[in-house]
Amino acid sequence: MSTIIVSQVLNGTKAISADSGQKIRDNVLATLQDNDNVTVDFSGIRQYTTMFFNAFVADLIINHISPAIFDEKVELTGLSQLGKSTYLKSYNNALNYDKDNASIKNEIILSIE
Amino acid sequence: MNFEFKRPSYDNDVGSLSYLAQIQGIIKLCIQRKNKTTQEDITLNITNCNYISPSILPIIGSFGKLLMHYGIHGSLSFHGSNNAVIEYITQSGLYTNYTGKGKASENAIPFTSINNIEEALLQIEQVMQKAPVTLSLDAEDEFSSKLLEIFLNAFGHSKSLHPIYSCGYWRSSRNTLTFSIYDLGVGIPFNVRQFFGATESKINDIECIKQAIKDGFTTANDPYPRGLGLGVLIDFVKLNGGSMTLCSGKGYYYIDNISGERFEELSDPLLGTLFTIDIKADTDHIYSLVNSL
Repeated sequence: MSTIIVSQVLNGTKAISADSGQKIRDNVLATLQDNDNVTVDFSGIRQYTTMFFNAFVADLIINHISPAIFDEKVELTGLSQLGKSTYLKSYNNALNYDKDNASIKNEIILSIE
Repeated sequence: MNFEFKRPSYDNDVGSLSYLAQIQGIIKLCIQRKNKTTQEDITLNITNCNYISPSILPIIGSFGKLLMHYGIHGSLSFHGSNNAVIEYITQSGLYTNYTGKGKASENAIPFTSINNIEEALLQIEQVMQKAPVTLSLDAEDEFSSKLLEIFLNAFGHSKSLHPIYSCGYWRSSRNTLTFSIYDLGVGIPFNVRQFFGATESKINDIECIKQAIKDGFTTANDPYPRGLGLGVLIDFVKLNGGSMTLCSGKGYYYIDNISGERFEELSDPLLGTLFTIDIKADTDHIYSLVNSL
């Protein structure tokens, strides 16, 4: 089991930008390629945005590994209440993601016809 | 050329925003004329005014910036407005931003241009520092993260050459923060219609706003899901008992816990997007917010 300490990778207390999310995603992917499970430790992180988790978690489970593999091999620890709620919002959105937005487009097309 | 605007008050309601959009229309005409004729000095004179809300100040502040951007010598005058308005223009930091003189009040998060996320963080830091109540670390993190969502939304969607304009005001008597950001970008209706490949006759500006605030909807081209920022903010405002206004093009959206949500149409299209929130920072609301997470 490897541990990624977010505050060290990002050199601060903020998990807010897409760039930061991509950095953590890349670290996680590199660890998973070594067939190792990974703990992502958020201790000390105070600010969170959905954009960060979209670029980290949502991108991982949409484009790189399945949600099942994510659940099995990646553990997030040290999240504040704000971190947990922001993470869950992004994770659940990714599970329901319609890649081509087909259903939304159909809905709009139907409603304007 | 001297243009005079006589509305008595400017708030984040449909009437005020329509009027401000009309003033923008005049500025746009001046910019177009500049390309064809010799340069003229332009004065936008806001007279007979007795109230300007912090929520729409970034729009007024952007008028002069727009003229300057296009090389037009212009001035913004409040001659003939009441003393409280003139005092507020100084207190809000607008006067200082343009002249380098004066000083914003202790309660004001001064009007400023924001070019990147680092500058947004500095602006948010001021919001926290000037809070009239002591915020717990959890509440401070919650507030600052939500304000960041607003900026990230604007940076991600405005596609603008201009900076974002922002200001805020802590009303200490009510422990309420009014915070606004305004971008001069393409606006929500443009992005939504482009996403659907639709014309204005197919999806009007109000429909575009309705679509934009749906959780999980995004017009961004990233290869992963987004579209949560506005939903997160709406949830936050509902929990906090505050209010939120979103205005872009002719589309206007307002939500608070008392009147619920409503969509309305401006008479003229506002350039870019205005986002404004009122947040309650008294002990009851902060604790209910943190505990509900």
